[in-house]
Amino acid sequence: MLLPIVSAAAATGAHAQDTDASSEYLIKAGFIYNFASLVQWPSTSFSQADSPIVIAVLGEERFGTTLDRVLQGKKIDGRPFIVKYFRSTSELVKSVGKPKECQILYVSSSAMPHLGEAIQAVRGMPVLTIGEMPGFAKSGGMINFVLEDNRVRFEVNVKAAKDADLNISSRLLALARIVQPPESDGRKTE
Amino acid sequence: MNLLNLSIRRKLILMTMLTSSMAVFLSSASFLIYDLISFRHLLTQDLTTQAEIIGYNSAAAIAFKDEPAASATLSALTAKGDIVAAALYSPQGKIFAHYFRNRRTLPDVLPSCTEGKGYRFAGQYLEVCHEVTLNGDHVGTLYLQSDMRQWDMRARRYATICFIFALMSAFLAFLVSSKLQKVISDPSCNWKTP
Repeated sequence: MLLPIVSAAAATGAHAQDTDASSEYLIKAGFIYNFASLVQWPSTSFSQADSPIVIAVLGEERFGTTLDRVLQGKKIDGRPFIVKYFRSTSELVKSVGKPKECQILYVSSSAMPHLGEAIQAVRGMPVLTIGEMPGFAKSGGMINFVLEDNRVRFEVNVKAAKDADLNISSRLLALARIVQPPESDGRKTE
Repeated sequence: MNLLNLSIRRKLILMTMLTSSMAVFLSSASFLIYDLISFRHLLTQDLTTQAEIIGYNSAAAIAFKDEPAASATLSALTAKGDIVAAALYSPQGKIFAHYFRNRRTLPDVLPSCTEGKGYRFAGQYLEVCHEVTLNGDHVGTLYLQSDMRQWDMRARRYATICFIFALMSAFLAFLVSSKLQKVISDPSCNWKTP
């Protein structure tokens, strides 16, 4: 059974009239949960079978308490969620500098100036990077939220995910706009 | 025409024909009924499997509220001629994406066939409701409606075959009994007493 909050997210839909900040972030929070269920981390990224999935949120707290509320009590393959908030990249680097410390890194739009450092901090580690600004996926991020016709959609940089040893389900890719990093042939498909 | 006034010859022929046609008719009817019941069961299983496949393929689309992707998945059902309507409903029971053939209309809210076994026969239609899940979470419900045209076609064909065979067997019985009745009704044959 879904918790009421996710049902609420489903009910709101991603339509124009709903895309005020709070419902947009409610939808994004629901999407992050869905991403987590459609991405496979290598077994080395968890120390135990029931280790939590740690989400590090970098930048301004746009989510408020939404992300915590949506993920509260939810589990994926027996793993609960833990959300940690970081104001600055240095704080983040100190905390997630080692593998197994975090599985998802969410970069808020306010952290855009430090995007490069943030991505560098988790490079080579099986960390799913999610962002919400234009060019995030092209700059090496894996999943980027975009607003299309006032609907929340997302781009996926498959190569970045593959390099980090993350396996993104074809069911997720079927719904995404696939983005190629600029160093490859630069093709872009929808 | 009074049956009692018929000659023994005719009576014998008629008796044989009636008995044999009735036997053929009854045995074919029992096969027909058995076959149609098991075919109905097969159709239900087939539609349920279909629902599982479509449900699996549209789970992510409904979870990510991607209506065009969900509609595209449903439109793959054009290949299945007997499925006349399909719809995905949100967990709140509101219609999310739909597909239908020949301008059939669909209820805006989820029909109440979700309870129990997940399928039902409504009039000449077979309906299946399948829970769509993603990672164990209920994300929506898929509703499929089949007009069971294969069943109708099979029933009609089967009934025609039964009818033709009953007629043929009556005709054969007529030929055979016309020959054999002589054993009894021919005055020239000798009636021996034990």
